[in-house]
Amino acid sequence: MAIEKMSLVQLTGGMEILDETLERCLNVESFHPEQLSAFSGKIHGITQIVQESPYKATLSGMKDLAETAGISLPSWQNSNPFLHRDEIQELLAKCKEEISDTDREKKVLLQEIEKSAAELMQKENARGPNADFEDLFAQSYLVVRFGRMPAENLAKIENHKDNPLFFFSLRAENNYVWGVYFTTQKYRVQVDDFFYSLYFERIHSANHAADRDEIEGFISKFKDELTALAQERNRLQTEIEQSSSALVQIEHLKSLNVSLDDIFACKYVEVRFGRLPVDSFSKLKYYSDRMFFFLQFSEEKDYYWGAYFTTWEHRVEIDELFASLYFERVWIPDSVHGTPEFAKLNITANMEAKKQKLVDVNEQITKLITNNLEAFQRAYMRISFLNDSYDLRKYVVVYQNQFHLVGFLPAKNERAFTEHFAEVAGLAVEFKPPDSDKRLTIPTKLKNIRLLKPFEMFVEMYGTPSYDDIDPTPFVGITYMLLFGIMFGDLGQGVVISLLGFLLWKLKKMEFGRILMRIGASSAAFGLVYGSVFGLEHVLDPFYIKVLGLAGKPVEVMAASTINTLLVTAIGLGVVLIISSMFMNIVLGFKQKNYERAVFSNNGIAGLVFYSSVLIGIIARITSEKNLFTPVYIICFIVIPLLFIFLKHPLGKIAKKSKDIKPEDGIGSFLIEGIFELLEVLLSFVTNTLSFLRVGGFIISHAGMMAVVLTLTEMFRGSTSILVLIIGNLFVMALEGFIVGIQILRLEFYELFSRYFDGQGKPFISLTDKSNS
Amino acid sequence: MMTSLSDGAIMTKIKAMYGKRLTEEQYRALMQKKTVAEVAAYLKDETGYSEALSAVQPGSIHRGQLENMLRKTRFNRYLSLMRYEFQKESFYDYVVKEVEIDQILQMIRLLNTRRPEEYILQYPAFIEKKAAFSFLSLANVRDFDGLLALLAKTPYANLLRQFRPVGAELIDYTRCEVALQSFYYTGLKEQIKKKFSKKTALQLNEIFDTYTELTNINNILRYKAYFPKTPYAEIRKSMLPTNDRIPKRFMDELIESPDIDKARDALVHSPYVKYTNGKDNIFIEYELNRIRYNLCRNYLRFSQSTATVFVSYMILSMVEIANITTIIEGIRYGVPHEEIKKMII
Repeated sequence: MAIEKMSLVQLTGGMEILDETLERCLNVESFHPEQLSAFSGKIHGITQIVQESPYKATLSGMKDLAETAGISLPSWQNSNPFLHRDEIQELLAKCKEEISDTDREKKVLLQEIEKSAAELMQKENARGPNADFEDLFAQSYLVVRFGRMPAENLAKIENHKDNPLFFFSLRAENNYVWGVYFTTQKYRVQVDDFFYSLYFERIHSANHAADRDEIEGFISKFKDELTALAQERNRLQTEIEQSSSALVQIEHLKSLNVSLDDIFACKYVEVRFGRLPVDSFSKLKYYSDRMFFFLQFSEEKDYYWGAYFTTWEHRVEIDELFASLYFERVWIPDSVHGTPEFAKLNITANMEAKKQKLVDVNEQITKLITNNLEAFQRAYMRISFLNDSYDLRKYVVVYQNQFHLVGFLPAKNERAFTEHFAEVAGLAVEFKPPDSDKRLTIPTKLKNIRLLKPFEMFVEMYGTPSYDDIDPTPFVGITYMLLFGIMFGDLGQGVVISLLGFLLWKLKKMEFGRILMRIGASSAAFGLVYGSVFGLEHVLDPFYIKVLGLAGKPVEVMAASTINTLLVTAIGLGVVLIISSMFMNIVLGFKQKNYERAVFSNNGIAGLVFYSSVLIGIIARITSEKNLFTPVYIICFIVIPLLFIFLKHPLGKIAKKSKDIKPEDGIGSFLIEGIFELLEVLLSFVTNTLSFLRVGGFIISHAGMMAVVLTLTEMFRGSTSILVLIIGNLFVMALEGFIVGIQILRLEFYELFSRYFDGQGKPFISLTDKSNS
Repeated sequence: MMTSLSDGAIMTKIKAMYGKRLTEEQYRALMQKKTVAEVAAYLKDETGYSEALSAVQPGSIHRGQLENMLRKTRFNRYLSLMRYEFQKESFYDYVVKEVEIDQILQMIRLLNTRRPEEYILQYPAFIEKKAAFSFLSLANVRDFDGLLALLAKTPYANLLRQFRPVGAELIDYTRCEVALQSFYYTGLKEQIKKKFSKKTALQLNEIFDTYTELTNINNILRYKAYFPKTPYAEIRKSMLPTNDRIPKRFMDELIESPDIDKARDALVHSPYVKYTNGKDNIFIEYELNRIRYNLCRNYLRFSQSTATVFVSYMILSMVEIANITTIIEGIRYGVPHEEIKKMII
């Protein structure tokens, strides 16, 4: 329940291991990199890597394609993008061990494996630690595929023992089994298909260029096929649209009792069917001297249907003229013959055939997308992973061919972090105290127990605490639940709010749902104290009397005597909360060695002494009629603290041993400002305390509103009264629930946070969070 | 003043029309389209233009016709609002006057380039019935005298007569433009002063003045950049009338700058620098329209005056059509959608 302790980590290594390091950075839990390049300009020889990601274009192309094909794009965080090299070696050893006992035929495969292994070792030595396993295997007769598949499909491999393959499982995690299968080049297609049908997700090597080429090849093929089909679809759609237009046109031609064949057979006359915008039609008068006439068949909204006739030698000029007038030509298909009536039948039949073909093409498109969906999504995850890891270069600076990457991580993760990077040969991981580099602001990661964690949302809404601050979440969480319960106490409604919260969290993953679960429970608990269930104030009476042996319910909210107690208790609660906030401010002030804040400010010791002395004086006066406000008391506990508050700036400077204690804007300005500030402080003590009256007010208003609902319920009978009760409850929950929630947040932010919380910190954002967003 | 009944009706109808504007999501979807046909289909099926474009066949419509239909839609909306306006000489006729001036200027441009026969294809036939002169007759004009003869019964003829070219010289387009625009804005201001309350007049003047002021500054900078030798008096004459919200001293400094660099310096040290594109400090149409857009959007939401809301709506709908046209042109010429996005308001 605090702020997570941080460590500063520096990763240093040669440029040849940069990619591998960055990829691992993406997979490491809780790592907050810092942009060192901001400081690199000041040091000679340090350069920043400014390169456009080579994966960006492919990624953008894939996004476009996905949008066209309606494919949803998964995040690479949902998959583990690669196996570690030692895991592969371990896998190989295990394979060899198990194959040794198999039959003769499979021993041939074993020999292939051994041959490949030898090849592997040889080439690995030759190429250094960055040799690419899959690349090596690709050169032999053997086909090796690493990957994972759903655990339930494991049994299916057993059922197909005759297949020319070996499968070895390595480890199981989250309903998946990681493993490897071997086969020969001869059976590659057959075995690959078989594993594809088992949803085997193949894992690619760390060879980025090969990955990109392979993915680009796949994407290009997929795109070509999809484009070809889409073009076919568009062509058919256009033809259908044309036929449909032709049908409409022919419909308009009904009045024409001439065979279309006769019209088209004219040797010297050209005819164009189509429609002309109404606006253009009026402009035809302008061209009355040109060689054409427009025959209007019918009129519809915005257009005139018709045909223009011109001579053969003027056709180009007149076509251009009509095109500029936005004449939309309708192509009468060649298949159209005879009178319009006859042609209509002909076009309809032709159009139906095309529609059927369009259905087929659409099916093919769907099938193509379905078949490539998984592979596409996998490819996308891989490319987006590579792109994200490439983007991390912005955090890297290079000095003498060595890269440096600096960031923060929770101190408790140091060991896991070291282990995570242990396999990267030549990488130096160095941990330092978080404040060792003064140029960097230490980010804040809040750490709270499950009960209080959701309330971090409210704190972050206001601001992130600084690394050396106190995390106010526990205080906010506890007080929020407490106040909500007090103000909105109802067993039934509390349970409903909790359930609603549970559903919001489970179904919509809304963080606010988790807060609702907690405050609902608190509301239910206080509902038990008030004896209120959905506004029914006496349902629980038998429980209190018979089971708990009480005289009745513990608190009768609407009783005249209780109301005063509630209001006084509310103010009392406010006083406790305000004093707690001041205590926190004092502790923080001392922690930061800021004595002005801790001792002299209105929220420091001076303010605390003043506030509590006034309160004690008033309480003593009311309860025992004893007057504590003697001159000595007033001078010591009221005037002197107020003087301290008035002089907090110069006193703070003296405490800091600063010589320059003179006010910056002169004495006059200091006095005026100080007096007004002091007045504001005094006023805010009063208003902040009285503000808590609303806590009591809402208890009463809740009971009052429910009383109205019950009165309305009693006005009806049977099912209607139940309906009124339900609607009334929903209304009160929605309206009052919201108001109470907002009012408490206001109390937290305005009355309490303003006393001790700055919220000037920098949030800890791990790379995984960044990639997710 | 209009009756309060028609006021209320117009206001309500405008709010309803504005509710059908393109949303951000729809703009995004439009920019994703690959062909003009897809844009037409989307506008026809998914937007507030559905009814207006119901007769459109996306596969065969021409880009120019689509743009025409969008403009016609805007004009039809104007006409439908005018059904509630019962005054004879209405303030709202300014929309038609704007188009009339635009048509005259277009013809002058074509006369100067010796291509008046092209006008026939460009003019908006749908507005013709409302206009003070026939656009079809304007299409038959072949010289300045013909233009004056056609406009004889309109106030435009007297304004233009002084610019009659002698012999083969070109018509002074700039002077014609200034004369017509000044006539338009002066008339508008007189009407505003006469017909509306002080508050409404203030709002309307702000909308029109912001436009004329920024246009003036823009024009000065263009003079300085491309015709630095233009006499100061000449530049002053080309200014549109404003309410003198810009200090005269600043305008003088700008006009009397010997070259574009000095004019830029003057601009950099003025509050108007925020309306420039930052690089060459030249006003760009985009910024000008963007300021107008924001101003009008604000008025459309919060103003209680029907006239202000009307003017705002007409400007906003014009901006919307300009945006769609930009998108269509962008798609037609294969501009990446990030680039198109930068150009729309």
